[in-house]
Amino acid sequence: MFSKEYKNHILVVLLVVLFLFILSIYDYFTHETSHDFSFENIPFFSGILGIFGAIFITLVVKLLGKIVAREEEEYDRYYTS
Amino acid sequence: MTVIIHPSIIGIIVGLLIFIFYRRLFNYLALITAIFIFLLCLNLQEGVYHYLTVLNLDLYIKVDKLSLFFCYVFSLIGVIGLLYSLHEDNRFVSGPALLYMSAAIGVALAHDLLSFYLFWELLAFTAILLIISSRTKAAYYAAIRYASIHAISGLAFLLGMVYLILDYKINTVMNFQELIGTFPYYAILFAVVINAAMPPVHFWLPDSYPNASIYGSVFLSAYTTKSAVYALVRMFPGDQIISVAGAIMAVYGVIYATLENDPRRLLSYHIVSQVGFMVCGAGLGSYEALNGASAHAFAHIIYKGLLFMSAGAVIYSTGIEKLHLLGGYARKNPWVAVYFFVGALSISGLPLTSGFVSKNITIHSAAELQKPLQYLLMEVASVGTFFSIVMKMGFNIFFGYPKSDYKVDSIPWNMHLAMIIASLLCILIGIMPSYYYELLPYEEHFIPYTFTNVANSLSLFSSTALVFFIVAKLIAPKPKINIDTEWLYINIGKMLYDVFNRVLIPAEYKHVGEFYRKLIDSCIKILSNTVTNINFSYLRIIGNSLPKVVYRSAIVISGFYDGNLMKYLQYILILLTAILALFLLV
Repeated sequence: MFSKEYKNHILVVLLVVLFLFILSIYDYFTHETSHDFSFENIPFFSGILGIFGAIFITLVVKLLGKIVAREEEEYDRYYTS
Repeated sequence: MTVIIHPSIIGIIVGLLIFIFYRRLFNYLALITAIFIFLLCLNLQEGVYHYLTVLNLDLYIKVDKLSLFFCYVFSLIGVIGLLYSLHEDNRFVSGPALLYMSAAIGVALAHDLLSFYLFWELLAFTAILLIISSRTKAAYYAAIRYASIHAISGLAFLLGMVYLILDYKINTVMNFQELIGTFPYYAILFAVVINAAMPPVHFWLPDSYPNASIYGSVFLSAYTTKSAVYALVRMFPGDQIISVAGAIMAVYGVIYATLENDPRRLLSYHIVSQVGFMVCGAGLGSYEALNGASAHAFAHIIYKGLLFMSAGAVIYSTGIEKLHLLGGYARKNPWVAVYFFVGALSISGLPLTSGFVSKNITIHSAAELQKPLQYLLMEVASVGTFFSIVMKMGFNIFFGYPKSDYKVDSIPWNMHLAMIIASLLCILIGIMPSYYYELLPYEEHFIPYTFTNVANSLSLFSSTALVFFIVAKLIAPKPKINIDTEWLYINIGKMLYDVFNRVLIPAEYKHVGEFYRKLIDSCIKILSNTVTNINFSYLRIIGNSLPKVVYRSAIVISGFYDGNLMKYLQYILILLTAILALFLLV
């Protein structure tokens, strides 16, 4: 699941997960109901937004990369000729 | 009307002299002048002042809370940037940086449109000097593209300004909302949008800033786009299209930033994204949103300067400017890692940093004004900022294992000191927002440190971090370049060139050229006959003796004219000073 380079940071990941879990539990019990938008009433909305936002950006970056990425050697062809 | 000394005039005179008579020692003079200008800005009192009369035109500055707020940060980052580049022996850094800073302050203080336009153009000109400060082929080409797009911006502004003065009798920088739907409104808005780097006319920013020297990019990151934000807040508040465009801009910037492998190009795309927050704030138009745009511009200038300085420190010490070749830098120089992460957490908007107290004002005002699209786009952009800067850039430069066998040189004391000052400012603004809010142009009641705000922020970023660790391999930096909208403009340019070559030039030769050929041939024939006659009668004698005289004179003169352009400029300046002194004495 985790890339090789980040296996040393597994502990950090576990801490992040634990922190998220505590926040979501706390948010579930203390969730405010008077928000500006109805979607903010979803418990742990910020966490969900963070997860889906990051997944959305990853997907768009992968797709866009296939269209706009070029080899570094081609810099001169595009920009200094 | 009270007359005062414009802070920018001092900067322009000293900056110009430093540029012409450059010696490395003058870097200190530039720094002292910047400190003096900062103190002068601190002492400015609100009001309208007359500062210059040119060709019977009176030029004015207007000092209010909005212009002062921008003046403080423009002069402050000038001081920090000049401290950072104190050791650098480069004519194209300290003098142009002082000029650039003065131009930005001039834009913020301009009351009449002519002053605004002149300082606006000076911004573009001095930025070009800073771009070519690295003296690379890529920088020269980027500078040409920068000059082309900013020439369009300047012309659009000039056109709108002339229209406003002649048709509407408006000569002051003001809120143009009443003119919406008119030609000058859109002409000036177009000029401002170009300088704000709004897609699809943003390409000049990620193209030019990474190609400047590491010192030049610190200044470049601060002034042009933030002057445009000032212009939007001052002239175009409450334009709903701008607010949506700003929110889209914020997401566009982070997506391209996540793709990047060059750290300074990645940071440049983050300027596009962060300016998107400010543009959105200006477009929302409420007092709170305008405060948000201004507060975020201030905080952004400091933390973006810090990020460019720390990225510059990595490049300075390793000579590497590719993420895929770095890694493990924190073990070799932990202080730079500390500076970087202060800037990175600030730009992400984590609690206790400047970004948290500034960015959330705009997001909060979008919620209050019931703008769900802008709200969600800005939240996604915040996720992307944390994702690409803290996680992708931070981890690939400072953690993990080194991807190449690079050595780390030590960094001069002044670079450390500049980064320490910027880091402290990011934290001080973050922990003492009430003092910061007092400086804002309008009264601010937003309370950033509520439990909900802090918990939401932490859960947003911790969940983003979790996703990053899972997908890190997918978005790992690769040795690639990413083409952007400039590709379209470059191809349009090439197509136009081809059209000229294939259609217009042959047509010109065939039809227009034929007519002129006959005309010129007959003229040349008459001229030739006349010259031949003169030559036979008079010039033969002169022709024999003149080469000898020219040859002797050339030997004498060549001792003086050695091809050093700066030397000539110095002599011209001395001559002009002597003429001025003579004129004053007489």
